Amino acid sequence: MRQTKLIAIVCAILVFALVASACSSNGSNTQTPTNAPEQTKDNVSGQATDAPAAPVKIKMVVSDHSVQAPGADDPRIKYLEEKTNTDLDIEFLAHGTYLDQLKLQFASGEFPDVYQSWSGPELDLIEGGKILALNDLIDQYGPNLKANIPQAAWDAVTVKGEILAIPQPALTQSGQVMFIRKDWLNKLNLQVPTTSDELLEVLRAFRDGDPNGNGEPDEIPFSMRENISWGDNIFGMWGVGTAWTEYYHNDEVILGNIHPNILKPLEYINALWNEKLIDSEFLTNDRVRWESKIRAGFVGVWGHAPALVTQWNTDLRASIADQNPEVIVIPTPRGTGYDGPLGTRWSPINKTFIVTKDAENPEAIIRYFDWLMSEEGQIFAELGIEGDTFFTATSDGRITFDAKKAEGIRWLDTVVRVHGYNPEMTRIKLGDDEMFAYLDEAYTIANTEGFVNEAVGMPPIADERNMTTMFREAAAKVLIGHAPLSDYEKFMADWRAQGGDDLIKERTAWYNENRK
Amino acid sequence: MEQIDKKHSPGFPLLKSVLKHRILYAMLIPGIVYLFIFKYIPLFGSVIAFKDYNIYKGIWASDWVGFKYFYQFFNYPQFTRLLWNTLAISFYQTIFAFPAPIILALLLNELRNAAFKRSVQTILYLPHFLSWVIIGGLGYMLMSPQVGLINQWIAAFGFEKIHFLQEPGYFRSIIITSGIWKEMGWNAIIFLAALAGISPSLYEAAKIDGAGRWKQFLHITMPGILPAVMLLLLLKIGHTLDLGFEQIYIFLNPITYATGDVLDTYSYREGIIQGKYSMTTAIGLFKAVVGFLLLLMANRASKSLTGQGIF
Repeated sequence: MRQTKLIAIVCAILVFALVASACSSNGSNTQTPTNAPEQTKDNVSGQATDAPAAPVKIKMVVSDHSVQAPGADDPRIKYLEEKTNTDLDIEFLAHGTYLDQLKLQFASGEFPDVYQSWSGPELDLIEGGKILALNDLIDQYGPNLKANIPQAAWDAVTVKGEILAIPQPALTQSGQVMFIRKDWLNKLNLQVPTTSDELLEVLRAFRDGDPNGNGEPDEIPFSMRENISWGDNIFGMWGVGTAWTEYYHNDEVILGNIHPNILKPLEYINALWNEKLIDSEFLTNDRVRWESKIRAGFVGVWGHAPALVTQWNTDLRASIADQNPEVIVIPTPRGTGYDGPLGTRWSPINKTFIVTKDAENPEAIIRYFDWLMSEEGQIFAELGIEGDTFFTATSDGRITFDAKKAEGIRWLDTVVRVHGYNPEMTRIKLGDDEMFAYLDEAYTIANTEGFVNEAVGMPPIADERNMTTMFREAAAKVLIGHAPLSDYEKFMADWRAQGGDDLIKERTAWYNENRK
Repeated sequence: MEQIDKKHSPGFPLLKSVLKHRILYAMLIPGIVYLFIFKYIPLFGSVIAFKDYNIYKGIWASDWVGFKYFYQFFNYPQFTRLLWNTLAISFYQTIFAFPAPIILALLLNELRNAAFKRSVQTILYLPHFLSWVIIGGLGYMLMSPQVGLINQWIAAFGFEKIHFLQEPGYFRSIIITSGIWKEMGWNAIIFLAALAGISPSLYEAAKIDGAGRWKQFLHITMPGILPAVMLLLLLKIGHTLDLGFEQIYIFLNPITYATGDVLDTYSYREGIIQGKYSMTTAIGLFKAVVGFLLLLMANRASKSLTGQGIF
């Protein structure tokens, strides 16, 4: 007894030590890719010839995104250097402390040519004149970038008309889409709903028609989660978002929570509550409970991230195989009396690359990113090098990806890649055409619906004046009928009066100065 | 002993005594070092309540803002509700949850079968080792209108199911009950220890004098554990505004803010999650000051009423 205890303790300590050393090695890893001898060699040749054909040195700092960074002599880096005619010096910093370490470097006056971030540069760097505006360079040297990066992504990194970063477009602009059980629709002979009223009819049919076929009225037509989350597509039927979504409305920058359009969806969900069409526990569902209800085949409609459509199909096929479940993503239905954009707010960018004024050869940097955005570059960033991680069949030209080697080139995808969703590459990587069809449909919908969130690219809200608490409470009361809708309007006025107006003034002033 | 020391060395009685008991004093050092490093040094961090604390600038370089965060906190429209909820839950805890382990200890003490007593005690203090997250899950499994056991009974008797977790009226009862269930057995241990400390000769003498179980309880057991009870009660009063964040956080949702949103949950939601460290420190400081004042008052009251106090 005592011995097993001792063994357990020793094991625990060992595991801890391993984890700790793994973490620290991750941290000290930062210099590995810098290949000292090669660098000096190239440096010499660069100085000697000074011809335009010589590779251009680019010093880049990136986050390792918690993915194993490549070794110094990784063939992919060599390939990338050859293709872009550059001599890359990429410093991979540990993801967890990335921005802090970067700040320290900047504070000591060390600026790389390019650094990676997840938004535009910080205000003090812009004001300090450290950041290079890229408008003309992109016009001249970045045709692929211009063609493949959507306007919303450029807008997110543009301040006062100056493009201050190269944004990697997000795989999907909208982060949430509406999921529905297609097999339930088929079983009850229903069409995909396109308006809020049609959705209501579908939900009623789900409640009454026993689509899961167990003879019990235990269906949950629609479900969402604690703190009024993962219901954004219901609010999105009237084009409002409830979490950190800002609008330019009536000459003011306001949060969606006090946008007049929010009253309709609140009323709608309250109607769902009254007719028992929404999960009676939607205010207390945590992730586990919510997921297990869906997996158990009780839920008909829910909102989630588009990329998870394959996961839901796989999960449900395993958990309720007898129902032959099929989960699809549908476009957000249109709310009655509303004709603006539908869906959820855009988060148009994934990561960004920012060029500093210390860069001696910014044209080469733009060319480097432009190659990554070319067809060849996109294949490289997702699949690696031909003959190593992917193969083209000589007979029909069909490309196969070696999934076993995927881990070794994950850093290409997370750190180097600048393109957004590439259907063909995704299909090859997924290796399952049926699942790819679901995924492609979901991504297409998530990339066509949604609306601008003015908060993207703005400095974060430092003090939200109790919005989280006040909104959740006021909305929850209205949603489950503890208070009339007029109480919510009272909350809108109260929030503004107790400090919200100051926040609106701050945000509007920033907007007028930088975006108008 | 002290007097003898004094006679022999009128100059430095304290030094002499320290030297004489140097081993004992040496053993004190780790305790003092611990208190100093982990309890006193962090106290200086409280200055960020008066500063615009920026984690990149550090504590000293951040700008002074005076009482800005206190004003902001007191100006929160629901401040009185936060304070009231905190006090109300704390009051219920003192009334219901505090006596529970005492009663349990007294009942266990009257048991004569040692094996039965031990097994009961063990079973009762097991919940102490469960985390609040698990108890939150158990609570859900009992009270959920969809899968909850209690609601299945209610439905079986033909009544309407009740959304226990979505009704402000039930919130405090759920908190108090779950708290008693989890901690009663564990907290009883200290009272059992106090009971074990009462000399058996007192009981024997009482028996010879003809006192029954009730009289023995009233005149020996009760006075025997009163010092322990008073001490713990005073400490509890000092922690009036600290309710145990996890427990409330696990059960709280926007509908139950009305009766359950307390200082700790508010400071977590509006402060820590949003990185407003100065604000949360201001709230913490406010709680500490109020707690200290309450402790002083309770201590004085206790001294004048029972003669017992902690200082």
